Amino acid sequence: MKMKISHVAVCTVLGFGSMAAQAQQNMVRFGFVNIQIHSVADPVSSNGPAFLTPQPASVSISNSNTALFGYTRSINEHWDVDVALGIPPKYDVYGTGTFAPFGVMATVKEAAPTVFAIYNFGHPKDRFRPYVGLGVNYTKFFDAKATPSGELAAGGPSKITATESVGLAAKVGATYNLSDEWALIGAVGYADVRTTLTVNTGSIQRSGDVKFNPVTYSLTLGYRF
Amino acid sequence: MLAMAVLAGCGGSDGSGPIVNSDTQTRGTLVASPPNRVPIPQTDGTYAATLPPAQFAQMLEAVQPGLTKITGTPKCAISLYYMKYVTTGGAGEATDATGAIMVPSGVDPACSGPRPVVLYGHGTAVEKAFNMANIRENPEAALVAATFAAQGFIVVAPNYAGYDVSSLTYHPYLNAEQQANDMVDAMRAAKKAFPAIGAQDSGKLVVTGYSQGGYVALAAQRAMQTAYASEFKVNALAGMSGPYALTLFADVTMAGSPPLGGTIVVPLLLTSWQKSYGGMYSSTSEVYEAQYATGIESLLPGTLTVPQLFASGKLPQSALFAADSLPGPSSPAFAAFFGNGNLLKSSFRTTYLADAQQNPCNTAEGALISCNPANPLRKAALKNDLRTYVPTTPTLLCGGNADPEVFYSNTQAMQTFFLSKGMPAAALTVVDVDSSPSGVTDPFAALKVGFSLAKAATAHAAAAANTDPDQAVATDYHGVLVPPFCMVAARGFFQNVLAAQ
Repeated sequence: MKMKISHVAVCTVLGFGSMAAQAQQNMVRFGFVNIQIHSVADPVSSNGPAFLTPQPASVSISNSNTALFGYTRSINEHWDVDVALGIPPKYDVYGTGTFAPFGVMATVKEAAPTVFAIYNFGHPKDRFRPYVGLGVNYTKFFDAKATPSGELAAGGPSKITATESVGLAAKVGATYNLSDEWALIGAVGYADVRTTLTVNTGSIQRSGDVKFNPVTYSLTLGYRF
Repeated sequence: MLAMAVLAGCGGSDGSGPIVNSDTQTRGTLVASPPNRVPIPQTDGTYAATLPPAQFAQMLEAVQPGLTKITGTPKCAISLYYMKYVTTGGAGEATDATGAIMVPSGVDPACSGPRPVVLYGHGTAVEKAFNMANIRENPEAALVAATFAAQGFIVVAPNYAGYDVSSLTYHPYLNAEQQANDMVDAMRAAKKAFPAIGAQDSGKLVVTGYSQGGYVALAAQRAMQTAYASEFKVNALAGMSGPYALTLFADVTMAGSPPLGGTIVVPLLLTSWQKSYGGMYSSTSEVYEAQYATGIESLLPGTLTVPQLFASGKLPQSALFAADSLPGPSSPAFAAFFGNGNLLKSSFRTTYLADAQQNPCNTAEGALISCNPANPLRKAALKNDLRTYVPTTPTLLCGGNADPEVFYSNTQAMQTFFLSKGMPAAALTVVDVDSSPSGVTDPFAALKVGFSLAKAATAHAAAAANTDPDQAVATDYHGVLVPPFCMVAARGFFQNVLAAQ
């Protein structure tokens, strides 16, 4: 009884008239995500002498894995709003071209919350419901640090910044309902994530634009309430 | 909310970085500390932070076989740094410049502990990208590293304002005051960098340079002695093949004995003095023939090499004066500097010579009498003639007497001037590497023998290739043959002076 009243209140607040057939409209989920990066980077430019940044010099980003958690709110029988977030994964920044001998030159972490509008096929009572989602990713980079090898390439202690990114995200997945409360959710996703890496070393500033092109493979366990 | 909790602990970018000084006005400011360390490529494709002596020896021998026999086998590992510092331009404007710092290291006693510092002025360069920190691609930088850093001297070598990424849009070539200030500011910045890069300065400072750099070295030592005495003590000075006696050099050039390379040096000089003082001309077409006048002020230093400058028609290879410009060449040896496609207008030359006739400056051998030129170019040459003071530090002047690019008469004029103004003879050493050893006690005997062998080898190689041996020697004399021998002469001089102090 109480739940029903609060449920109505929430629905009213959200501005949705319809009432879900189920009492459980919220899901929290926790699991694992593998992030495959297919980075494309511009050549690194420099405001210093050419011989200290011989071309072609660029970078590539490693893959990563992390724990993923999310919150999904059902709007109606088909539509959800989903917020996904991971424990910030750490990426290795590899040198390419003339930077290749330096290997991993830096590491950087990111926080990349993504909001999706999800369309679930089938019916809420189906054991297996595929879905598609379209959303917006916001990525903030932090803890960018040069490795000793990166400092050798750059010429000394370096301050690295990476600009934040806002971009479209999409995913396809499926929910496998174990019970009314529990579900397994698997998904493959993509987001448009790009940044400008800037490295300041001595009197030289180097920078390069990098598109991450992340493809994510996730498996989470969800709990509805 | 969860997102916020995660982000709360993150503080933007992390990691230490350089300490940047945003002061763009105070001379001698080190723009960033520590300065950039140049990574050294190893033979296996990886990089290291220092250049080991054995690897450096191989590198030198690969480029110029026999060089390490002249300079000595490298003893010390070298750490190379690239710094940026604040200095002034030719008109007193605040600007910046870059330069190299070379730091020796190693277990050899010559490489460890507190080391003496060589402040080095480099020679004329047409390319803006010229960089004394680029020893792999810059032969002068490699020679300086081999002669000094590899043998235990810390080297501070500015690139000069107007070169590399300097924000000055021209280079104040042979502007004595600016170039001296540039060297002073490079030294100031380097001293600030030393603790950050583990360089131990013994407190001994020697100043040297080659060609334009020889001039700059004397100008810098003069400034340190007269204007910056409380800040710097110069323990020894060595000028190598420099155009010290500028009124003499300019007068003989215009009179009909131009130097090889004059078509490069004159635009550098005129642009420098025009930007520094004004008054050289009201437009470039007043001085230069029409085909060269447009854009010549921003041509040097620039993106073209010497061969490209000539091939593209931006400058003539040798013709400074018109074929019919009077007076003609002072001897057949100078005929190449008169011809078609000449750089300078005859009217410009005539005006100069009229003033030289009216207001002579160099009537006596090597003596600069009180002359009073009216011509702006001659006035500027007088202003920048270094025969104004006597060094109070042991001084070496080195060169080759047959130098076709920077006449040896500059060295002789300087010697005459110093001695006539009371410099103790023992304090001044003059070495003509292109001469026979004076005897078994000649400390420069080996160098003189080495030079004559190098000269003969150049002539021999040219003859074997069916080209003119005299031409080949003349072409290489100033820039290739003399430098290693004068550099080693300077080093020996410095080591003797420092050991005696």
